[in-house]
Amino acid sequence: MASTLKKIILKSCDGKILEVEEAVAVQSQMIKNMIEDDCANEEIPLPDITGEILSMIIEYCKMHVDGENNSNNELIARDADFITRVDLNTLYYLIVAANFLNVKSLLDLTCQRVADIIKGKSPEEIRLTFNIKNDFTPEEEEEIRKKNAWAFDYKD
Amino acid sequence: MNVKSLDGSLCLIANYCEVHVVDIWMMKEYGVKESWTKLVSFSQSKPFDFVLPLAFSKNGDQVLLNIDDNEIVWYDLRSKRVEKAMFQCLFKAQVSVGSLVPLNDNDAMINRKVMARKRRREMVRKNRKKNTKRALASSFILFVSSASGYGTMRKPGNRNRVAAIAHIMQELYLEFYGVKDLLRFRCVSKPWCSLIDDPDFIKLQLSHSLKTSTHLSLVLRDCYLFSVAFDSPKAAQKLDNPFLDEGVGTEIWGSCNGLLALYNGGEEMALWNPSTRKSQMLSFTEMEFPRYSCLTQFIVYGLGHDPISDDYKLVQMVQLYDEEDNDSFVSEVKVYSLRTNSWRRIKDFPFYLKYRRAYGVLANNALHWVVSKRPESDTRSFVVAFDLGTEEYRVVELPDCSDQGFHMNVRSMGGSLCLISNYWKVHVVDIWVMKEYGVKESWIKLVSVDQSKFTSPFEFVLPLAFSQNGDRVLWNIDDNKFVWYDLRSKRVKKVRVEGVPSSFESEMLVESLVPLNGNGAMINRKDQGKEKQKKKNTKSPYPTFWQKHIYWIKVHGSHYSKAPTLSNLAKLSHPAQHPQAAAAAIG
Repeated sequence: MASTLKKIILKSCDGKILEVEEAVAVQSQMIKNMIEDDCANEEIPLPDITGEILSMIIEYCKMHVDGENNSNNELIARDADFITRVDLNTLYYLIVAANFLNVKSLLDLTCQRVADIIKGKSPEEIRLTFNIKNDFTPEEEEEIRKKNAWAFDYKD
Repeated sequence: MNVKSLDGSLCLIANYCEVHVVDIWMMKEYGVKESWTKLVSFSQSKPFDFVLPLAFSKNGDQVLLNIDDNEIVWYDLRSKRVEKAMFQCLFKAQVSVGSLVPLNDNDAMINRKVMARKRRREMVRKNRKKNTKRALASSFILFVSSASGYGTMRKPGNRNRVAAIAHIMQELYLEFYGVKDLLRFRCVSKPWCSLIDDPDFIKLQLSHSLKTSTHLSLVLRDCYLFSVAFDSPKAAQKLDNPFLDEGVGTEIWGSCNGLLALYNGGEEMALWNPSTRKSQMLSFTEMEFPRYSCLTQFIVYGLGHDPISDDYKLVQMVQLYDEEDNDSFVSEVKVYSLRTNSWRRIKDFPFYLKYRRAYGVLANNALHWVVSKRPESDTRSFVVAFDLGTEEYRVVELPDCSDQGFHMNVRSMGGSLCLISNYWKVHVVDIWVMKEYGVKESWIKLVSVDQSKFTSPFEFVLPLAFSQNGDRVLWNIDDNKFVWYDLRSKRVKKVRVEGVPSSFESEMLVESLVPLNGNGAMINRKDQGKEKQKKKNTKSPYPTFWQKHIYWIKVHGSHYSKAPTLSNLAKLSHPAQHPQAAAAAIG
């Protein structure tokens, strides 16, 4: 009985303390391992994860725990809703955090999102989306394009 | 005397109590006696009971020593001096890795040192992989951090972040994009370009595709070459092969890591990467034995990757013999190396090839042929492998199946060697797979097909590939149709592909970025014309007669068994290359 109510205390890098139900926290393989090794009795400091990102991850994990009995499609729809609300900045930090905490489903979801953002975009659009500086000279770029001109014919 | 492990190597600590001298030996290469080196030898300035080596310093010129479990010192390997490390208390020092919870300060310091050491060790071991990861990581940092708001991102000293980024890049680049996308991404920015051109990334992309059975296609050949996407085989698309005069019946001599070996008749040979559309023409190699011939002739090829020198090799095997005269056997083998762009002759192949057009089947970095020890068609067949790394021949142990009354063939599926035994008398075909290469016991019978259960009879079936989830096998039946065979329900389902030629040969191909412009002339279609003109001016080293003859064999090889114009002009005698003697020596 006690174990189901057990709370795990997580501390973000900016000092925010969050209490999470064990069932939710174990969505993170890292925390799960710590609990198994009996290292999770005190607060767990999480370097590099801000309170804002941590709350989002907990929201995501909660959604998956609560939605366990829901249909697969429903969960996919919720995932889609969750991820499309996230801007690029946040997406990046979510990926880093999901990888650190080892929440595989979230990592897959976030990576897929970045892939979807890039998919079907021209190099110019990719640069624009991610604010990447084009460090080629026009001649260099022309040379690269010429080398594989056929690859730029991609929207067919 | 005591033993310890240091940096993964076994250490021997010899404590000469009487003279107060301690020697520390290290076995650099495990199991090699000669590799023992004396790392440390020091006399005790102040008496101690024991000393245990813990770890090397970051640059490797110091060793951390634990003295009597109460002192940690650095021993400088060059100056042979001892320097006290800053902590001193009673403890038991142990090399430990990867603790998540921060320890108290003193311990943390040791721990950090040890971890740094460990990390370095891993890095050395997986140098290549790490480099890729780092390249991936730095690229992603540039990739995202250049977006507004990331400028303030703290320095990416954090290992987790680096690992995370590496993970993301792998996921992204490998999972979602094909070679065509990646080639386009090259012009986004310099970091993106250098990442995609990185040899380690190219390898990663390749191994990922092979492991996950993604980015695969079928290459079909009749007069032209066609490509069919493996994950959604709907329509065949014609491929523009690299030769100027395509359509004369370009042949595929092998497929390996995204490269195809092509032959276009005459002296036109090329390696070709259809995914990047790059090709490299190969020089033609002349045969070294006398030009007079005997009766039966074979020219077979095989393409593969040599993991030792990280090179691609095309093997050419030529056999000539008179079936009535065992002494007439000539079997010349030459290897073309992509790296050096040249041919060289290697040890002769001491077996009789069984099939005229069977090019080497690639599995586990070896090419495989069905052979026999004698030329007669009723002699026992077996399988011989040519190891692309060591360039040695070896006999492959086959499953215990009756060796009479069936045609034996080899193929490879998902990197595993397959044996196809076609019991033509009873119309049954068994397909075996060697799950663990080189282990006889690992042969399993994957399928046993009873022809009578098929609506239309067939002559042969060639397994091509497993489906992504592994529960179906794609077959080429009689070179004119594809079917999926469901391993559970044991039923076949025809695959309808538009635009497939009525009769074809089929080959699996994986998309890859393997470059073909490292050495030699990279020939695009335009340059090729120039090359051809050049060739016309140079006299072929090859006697015209042979050129024609070999060309004829190559093109019509499967349709005749005796050379058309020659009778026993000369009996070649190469006693040293007598197949039975040599085979006995090997087998």
